[in-house]
Amino acid sequence: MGNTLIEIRNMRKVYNPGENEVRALDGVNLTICEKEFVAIIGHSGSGKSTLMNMLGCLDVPTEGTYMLHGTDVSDMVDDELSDVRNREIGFIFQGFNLIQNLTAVENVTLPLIYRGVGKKEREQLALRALEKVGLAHRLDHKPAEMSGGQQQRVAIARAIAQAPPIILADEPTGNLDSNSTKEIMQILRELHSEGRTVILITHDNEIAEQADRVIKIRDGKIVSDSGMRNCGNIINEEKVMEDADNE
Amino acid sequence: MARIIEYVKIALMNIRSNKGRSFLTMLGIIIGISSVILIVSAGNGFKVGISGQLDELVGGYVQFYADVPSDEADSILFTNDDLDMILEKVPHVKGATDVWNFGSQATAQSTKGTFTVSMMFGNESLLYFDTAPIIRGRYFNKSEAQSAAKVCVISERGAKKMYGSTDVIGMDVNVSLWGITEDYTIVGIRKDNDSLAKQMTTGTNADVALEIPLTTLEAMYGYYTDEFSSFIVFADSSEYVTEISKQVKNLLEARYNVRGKEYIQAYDMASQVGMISDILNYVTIFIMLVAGIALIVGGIGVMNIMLVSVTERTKEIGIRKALGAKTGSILFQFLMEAVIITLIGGFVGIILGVLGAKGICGIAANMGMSGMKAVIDPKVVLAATGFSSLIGIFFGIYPARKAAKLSPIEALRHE
Repeated sequence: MGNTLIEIRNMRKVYNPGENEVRALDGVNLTICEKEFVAIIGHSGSGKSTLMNMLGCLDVPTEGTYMLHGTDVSDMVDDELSDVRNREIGFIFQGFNLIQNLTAVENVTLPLIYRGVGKKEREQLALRALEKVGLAHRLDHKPAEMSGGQQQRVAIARAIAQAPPIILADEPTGNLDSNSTKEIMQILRELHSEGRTVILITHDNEIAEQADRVIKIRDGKIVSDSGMRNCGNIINEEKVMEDADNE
Repeated sequence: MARIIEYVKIALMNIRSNKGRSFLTMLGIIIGISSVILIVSAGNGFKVGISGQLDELVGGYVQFYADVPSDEADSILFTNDDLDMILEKVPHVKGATDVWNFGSQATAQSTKGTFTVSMMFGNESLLYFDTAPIIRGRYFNKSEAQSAAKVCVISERGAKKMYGSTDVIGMDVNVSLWGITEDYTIVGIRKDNDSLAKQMTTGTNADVALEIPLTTLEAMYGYYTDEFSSFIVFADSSEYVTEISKQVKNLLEARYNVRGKEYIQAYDMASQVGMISDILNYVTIFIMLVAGIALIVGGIGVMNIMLVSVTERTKEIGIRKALGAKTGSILFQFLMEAVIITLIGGFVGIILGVLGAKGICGIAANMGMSGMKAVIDPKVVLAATGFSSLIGIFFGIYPARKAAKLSPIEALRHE
């Protein structure tokens, strides 16, 4: 595999510090290399959403470090995190999170606007991304005029339009029927085969099994990791934990 | 730059997708700005119009009167000799007369009925008292004025009321005043002066207006008119009024040996015009204050709506932040929206204000205040525009900051 992309050490996230504190993440160590296809699986309340927020630079940890592309992002301020998100991460959400009064193509150009890409280039990139997800004929439709599967494909186009190294998908098929689910997973696999790092967060084993590597999380800790790999010449010190959860 | 255009587009789109609400938000700004523009423009129009009118009507004359405190000296009474001296010695004087005015005290009979009559007495210079022209016949002349001739000049409308036509030269008008009934021969017809300023200065609404030699007043009704405590001097043009005031005062003070004492006063309409301007200025400032309050209330309305908008669009803000929008981008986006709402409101307000001012001045002009025209001052328009965008920025900042500071996770979780 390629070089180390994500390196998390002893990450803790504590909500309500004090008597009723909640340890959403309790000492997580995780390394993800470039071009991996990783699924993070866990029940609700397991801490996977918190982990996803950390991976996506939407939040900062209480303790521990997060090296992304060799940069420590664990104590960056808001605007720096915005930049990192814009540059490094393409988000795909369970609820699509498209802006309702913008058309498909306008939604896709949003991250490019914040990147400062010029209008012409923006439109070309958006068009190419929408072509890739098979929605070249739906450019000027608003989200309400499209099916769930189509909306999620617009969201994918938005995530890949500016070619970020990481695709972070949070329950991308959670709101979709089985046909659309297949379509979306097919697209994610394609993106991976084209050399992108895909991180998939789900509670569904069936979905998780389609990834190369499955990481299980429970009570804020990683309890199993199916396929630890070496990233280039960096030797992974983590030990594979016993799979304590056999669901 | 590209981003700014982007934010303007976003703001316009949001304003458009909430048309009704955006309009109601703008209403406060529209009312504030339009009233400022309307008041200032119409107010300036009134000022110019009233000055012009007063000047046209009376600007060319000065009234002189004796004002002697009773414990200091005997009062001064002027005579016709004084008037002759002024005519002779002071340049640019075209006439001088004592004026007696009896508004609506007399009645006149004709085959069409009984009419109220206003009577004004003076010498032949009374011609200049009104700028309205003599449309038929002539004015009574000097010899008639000195010989108590029973002649009169009648108002055009009065002639029509009493006789149904203006074909009345040479006819006798039968007038009753204080139980004395007398016939006056019509020698001329003067056009009516409908200007508001004229109504204000003569204050009569009699059916018929007659102008008659002053000597006739003495002969018919026993008034003593050889001496008088005030009189009017007519200037060739209003520009000579100040100079004439000074010279006449000098002459009279020398003649009555009261130099250095303020016993003889001059009074001209120019000072009246200044007073009316002052009053209009105070009214303008007061109404602008009220309009300013309306603008601030309008601004609070904008802030309110922006706060609602931030709450409604929390999720959108979360999405934008997740995709890389910085605090400044969100701040600018919402600020832009507030500014555009106030600017559109300001623009509509300017148009309404200008149209309103023109409308009001147009109506006033139709009602007899000729020369009334809205004065649109670009400075006022610019100031109103600047003020409305300042309001937008000022009241937009709080909601915009609130939006910009939302945490992306919480904003995304918001439904």
